[in-house]
Amino acid sequence: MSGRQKTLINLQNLTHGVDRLFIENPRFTTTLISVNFYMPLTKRGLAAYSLLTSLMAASCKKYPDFSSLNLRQKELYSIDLNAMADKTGDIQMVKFYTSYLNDGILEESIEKECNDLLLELIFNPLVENGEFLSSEIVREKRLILEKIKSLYNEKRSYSVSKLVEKMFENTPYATLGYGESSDLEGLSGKELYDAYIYMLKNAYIRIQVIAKEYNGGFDKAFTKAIAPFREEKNYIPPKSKAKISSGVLEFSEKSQINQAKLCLGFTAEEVIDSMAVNVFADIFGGGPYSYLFSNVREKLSLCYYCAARLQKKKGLIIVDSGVEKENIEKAKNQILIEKDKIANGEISDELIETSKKTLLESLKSRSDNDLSLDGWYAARVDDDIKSIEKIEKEIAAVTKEDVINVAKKFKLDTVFTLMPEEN
Amino acid sequence: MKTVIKDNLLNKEYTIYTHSSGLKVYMFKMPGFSTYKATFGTNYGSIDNEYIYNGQKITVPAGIAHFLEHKMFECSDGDAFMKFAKTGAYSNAYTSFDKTCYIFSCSNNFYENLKILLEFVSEPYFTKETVDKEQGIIGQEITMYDDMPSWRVFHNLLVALYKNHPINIDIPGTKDTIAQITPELLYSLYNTFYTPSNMFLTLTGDFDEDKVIEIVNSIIEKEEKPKGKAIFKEEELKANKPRITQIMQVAKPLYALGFKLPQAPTLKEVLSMELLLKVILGDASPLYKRLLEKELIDDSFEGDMMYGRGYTTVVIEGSGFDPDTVKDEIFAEIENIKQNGIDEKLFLGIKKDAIGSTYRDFNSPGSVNNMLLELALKNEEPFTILKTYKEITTKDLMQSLELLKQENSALSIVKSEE
Repeated sequence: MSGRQKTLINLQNLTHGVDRLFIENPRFTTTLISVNFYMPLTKRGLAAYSLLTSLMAASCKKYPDFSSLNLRQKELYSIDLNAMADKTGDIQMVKFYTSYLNDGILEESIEKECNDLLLELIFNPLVENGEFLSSEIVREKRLILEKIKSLYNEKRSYSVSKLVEKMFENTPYATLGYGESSDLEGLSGKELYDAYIYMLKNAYIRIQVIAKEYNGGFDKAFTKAIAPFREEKNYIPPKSKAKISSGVLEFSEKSQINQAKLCLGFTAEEVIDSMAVNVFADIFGGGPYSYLFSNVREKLSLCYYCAARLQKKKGLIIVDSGVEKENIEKAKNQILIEKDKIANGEISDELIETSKKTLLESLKSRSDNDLSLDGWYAARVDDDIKSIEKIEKEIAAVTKEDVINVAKKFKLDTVFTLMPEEN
Repeated sequence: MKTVIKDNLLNKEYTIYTHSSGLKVYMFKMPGFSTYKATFGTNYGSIDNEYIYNGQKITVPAGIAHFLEHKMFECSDGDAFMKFAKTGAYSNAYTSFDKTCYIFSCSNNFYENLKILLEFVSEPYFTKETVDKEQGIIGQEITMYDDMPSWRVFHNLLVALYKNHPINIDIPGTKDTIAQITPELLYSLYNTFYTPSNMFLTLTGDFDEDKVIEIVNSIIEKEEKPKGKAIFKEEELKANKPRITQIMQVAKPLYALGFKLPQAPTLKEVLSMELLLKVILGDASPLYKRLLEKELIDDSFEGDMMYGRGYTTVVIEGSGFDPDTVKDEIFAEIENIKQNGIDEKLFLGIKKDAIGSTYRDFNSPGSVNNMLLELALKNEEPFTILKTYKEITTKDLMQSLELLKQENSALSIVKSEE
């Protein structure tokens, strides 16, 4: 195959607690710059940063009205300019990013203005007297609170969030990425400003640049702007922890639905830094060759969908399925049987190779998408920086024994069922 | 026969190869990219329930196109999903109103995967046992969609708009309609619509065109065969019903406002309408700002256009506690623009946004593949998009505005009981 490009990566420290990762990709006609802030996860922090990023993405001192900022983005040939907050394991992540067409594609040059806009968003928020404006807060708060309520509309994702909430009760990880409604409602303009300054002063910051080439222009401007907030101290991002199980908890809720939702949470009780976990999760409930799809759905027709999702940083696997009410118990038992099959070594070498090939393919395809590459690296802030090619080698090295050992570690911890109401 | 289409502005080109069977193969080379994407599709979807074939008029049960798509993956020598999985490729399929597509994407073993794709779609295999089992699986899929408020509000809108056109039938059908499906019926439909002259193959990635043609020639039968032609009852522009409301347990009501437009729009008319919708209600528009500040909409509010055989529809969707006021405000804004014209600065910004977005689309094998197949069915080609956006003026948008008539519109709402 011709033209396959290796990903070239370069990590450089810019100032106290600020690193910049450049990922070169000669194929792209766009430049993506993301500025990622990492802090320990707290329940109130999730609400604060969720609201803060909504506010900061909507307006800034230069464009104090969201319509005018939206229009300016369009005038810059559809630049992506946004901010978001979420949890990645036990880390609070706040991201500001922009993606724009390179010079040479258009008749005009937009690089400087796009970079300046990103800096404007981060360093010149719409603040007066040390507080974010209440009119802006009222609007953005409503949008987030309604989003939280609307999660209930999509029963599949609602069920998964209920499982996580219970499984990680009394820890920040139990909370949705948007934050808890009661915390959101209580946030003031002053508290939000304090959270903003805390972030600038204390977060570990990683800038990621994904482009054909990079002249370091954004590095200099960012370093200058962040300088007043930084000092020499430890900014190392915190490590995430897995849940230690204290037995299986089962709970349910009723809803006006026809098809029940069954969710199972498994914990490995440790964070396993090995691609064998990815292979296990994939064989268990990933592709169409997986045990859950081919046995629980196809052979036994117990579910319409039945898939496993891996949250590696929490040593967590969630199985979620759509199932007829009369099949709930059968489906639950069969899911456990399928997991035990893998733990008992009932896997063919062929299946392991199939899974590894699929994961390799999925990884390679990321290198063709700048947002996907950015997300991949941003979520791995507490791992060593590795090129895609190095990770490919790690996948290739996974053995059947590795997968069996990983499967044995995962134990059932929590079961949630969303049941149809009796008519 | 090979035709090369070039664009000097984008500095790109692609090739259309027309096979002796009538199959059109669209090959868009993307040098240096790791990803390949292939779509092998047929010009046959959920709306093609009544058709003429060999001089006979035939009617088939609703949901059969989607059912057929599910069954295609079972081959006489095993499951097609597993064949792709062994090479590491991702595979999938979907049925929409007017087409059914079988897809793979990969970064290795492209030619092997291409053979798998062409072979499994060219070799139907249906038995009573597999058809019976699929009825159970699709039955559960139908139940899942019945529980989805976002799907219900959209489907109900189409029922409200269209009296006769089968776009008003749910793509997977119902449990009763799919119970009528037999292997014989599936074979008959396959032979009618899965003939290469009714199909298309779109490929994006860094491949060798001659190798692709060699593979196509070795698998696709050479002879051009007749295909079915769907027939549709006449459908007037007036909406079937002004509104449909469905009660479901939702946190906040969902709504969809739709308009029926004249059929078979040109590419310029389609793109003009897309720009017009952004001018009227996009996130840089005065209406969006007003509705957001009045707490009548949230950031899910948007409008789009879809079109195909016998239907052209504008759909505006959102979520909020007062859908009727939102509807009234949209109509008021339409009148306002008719009276006062279009804001030039807003229009130019939206145009630049569309141009920039199109440039970005050409950066991705997935986006290019989607563009090719959407436009191939309508005999348009993707390079014209950029040129057309640049030519569109506010005069074109004002013409599009005349098509958004109240009598041709309907409102669909999903909400909880009072």
